[in-house]
Amino acid sequence: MAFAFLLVVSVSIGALLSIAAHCSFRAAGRLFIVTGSIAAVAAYTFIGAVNQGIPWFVAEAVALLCGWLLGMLLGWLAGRMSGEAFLLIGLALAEVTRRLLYHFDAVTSGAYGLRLLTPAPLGTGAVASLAATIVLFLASGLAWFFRTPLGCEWLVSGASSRAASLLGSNPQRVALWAVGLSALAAAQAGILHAVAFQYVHPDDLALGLGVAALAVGVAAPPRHVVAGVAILSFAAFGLREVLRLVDTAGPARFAVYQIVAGIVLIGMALRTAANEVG
Amino acid sequence: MGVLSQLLNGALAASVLLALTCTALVGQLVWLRVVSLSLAASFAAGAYTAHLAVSSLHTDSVAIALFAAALGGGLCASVGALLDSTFHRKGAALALMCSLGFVTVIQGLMTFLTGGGVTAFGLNVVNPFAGGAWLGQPSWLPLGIAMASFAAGTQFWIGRTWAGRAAVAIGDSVELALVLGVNPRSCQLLIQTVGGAVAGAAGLLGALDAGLRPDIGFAVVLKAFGILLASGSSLWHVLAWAAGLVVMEQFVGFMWGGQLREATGPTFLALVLLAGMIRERTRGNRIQRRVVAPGEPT
Repeated sequence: MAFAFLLVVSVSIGALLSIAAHCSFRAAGRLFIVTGSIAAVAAYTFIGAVNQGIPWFVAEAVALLCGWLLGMLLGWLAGRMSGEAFLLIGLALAEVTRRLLYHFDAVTSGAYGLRLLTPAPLGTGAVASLAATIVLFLASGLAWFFRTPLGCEWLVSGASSRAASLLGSNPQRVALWAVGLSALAAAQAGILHAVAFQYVHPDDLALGLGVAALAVGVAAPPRHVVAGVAILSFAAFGLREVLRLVDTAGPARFAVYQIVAGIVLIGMALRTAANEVG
Repeated sequence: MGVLSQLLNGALAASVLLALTCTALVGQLVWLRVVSLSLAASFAAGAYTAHLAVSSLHTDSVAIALFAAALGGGLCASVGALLDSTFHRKGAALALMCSLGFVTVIQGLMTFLTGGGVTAFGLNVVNPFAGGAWLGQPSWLPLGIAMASFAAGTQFWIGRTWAGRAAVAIGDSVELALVLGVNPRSCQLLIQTVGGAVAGAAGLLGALDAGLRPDIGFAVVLKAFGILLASGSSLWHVLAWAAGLVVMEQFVGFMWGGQLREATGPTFLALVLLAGMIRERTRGNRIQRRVVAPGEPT
């Protein structure tokens, strides 16, 4: 039972981050790698607010707002930077965020991690169900959105900003909103992590998770978002928990996770480049 | 006085390491204009290969350690170059993503083979400089200075040979380089392999400085990106920026602790990228104004 809970929650968190990366990649044409860091900021904000006695729903709103504001800032940059510069700045910001979370230990408890002092109002079964529901809702919503006229405009903008400009669309505005909304999904993943595990550490939601989410987000086909995100998230994020179940040693588990994510990233980059050239 | 000399010595060692990494990156980033993180994998591969060679041969020979580091780094870089050359600037962000995947795979393989880096080797990294033959602190510093000078000189020399000019031509236009009879893939392979060998040697020094970890090269290569983007190709500018960044890091570490010191390099890279964005947009706006108002004096 505990394994099933862990599996569902881990896959759901990964799937939410992947949905965020997928939305940015398809709609803005940008590789959004800071999803893990935005989730970490949201998780810390949420736990910090709840520990201060703020009601759960208000704390969730505050954490989502933090994630969204960060996303809008990154979206503003995404519309004005080249793709590789945006990815590099994402790598830099992910590392800076992790270091800041370690440094300000008076607020974040540094290397000890931050624990939720108030017990969660939901049981493990309810949290797992809620996590799966949120993922399904967001993935279905995104799949539906990409079939609407506005969604098609965003897809065109993500595929070619020049074509989008010729069609009367504003790629910078699309990037702003696409990355901002992606950050909301990432922040929701962070809150889910905080509620499910009632604890967050600077290394829990970091660059490694962002890399794996980017791999899944790029690999997921735009026409089958729900199935693509579900299957690939299970392969990328559930595999680690399965290895935990079969009692594989810790470093080997992380190594397998890294190797799988890396191979997917290489494969998707080569495939996307081949499609572009073709 | 003791603290100051310790800070300056640390700054010197770190700037030597950073200058060596920047030298390794020049061919790839400045000449070929390939934005790739594959040198981070070479950095780590060099450190692990040197450690493997020194520990399995039960030797403390510096020459063997350096040769193994350069071999490991060069081999890793050649695989990275083959991946990078697939893109040929058709999708710079995709090439960067591919190199990130490559680095992740190499890190995963190292963790898998060595049982987790820190757990397996950690601070017990075999130090071929521990025999006391080298003066200064850290013990590798004199050799590091010699290596950085040699690598910078070699890069300077390669830049004036056929290979360097061909690399610059490929960086400007692959199609033009093909017309000129240059084989882009082999030239890229050559330049990146040489850079990878230098990065591998830098990785050995980095491991001696900070211990052996699979992610050892990532932060150094990010800093090197920032320095090269800020300084351009001028060797003196690279050295000046590297020294400046390291002094800043040491100061931040002394004032506010190690975590913020580690955050200084990535922050510098982010600021350099932001400055580049602002500069490009300002230039773009200026050109746009001139196009809209042709009567404006130039």
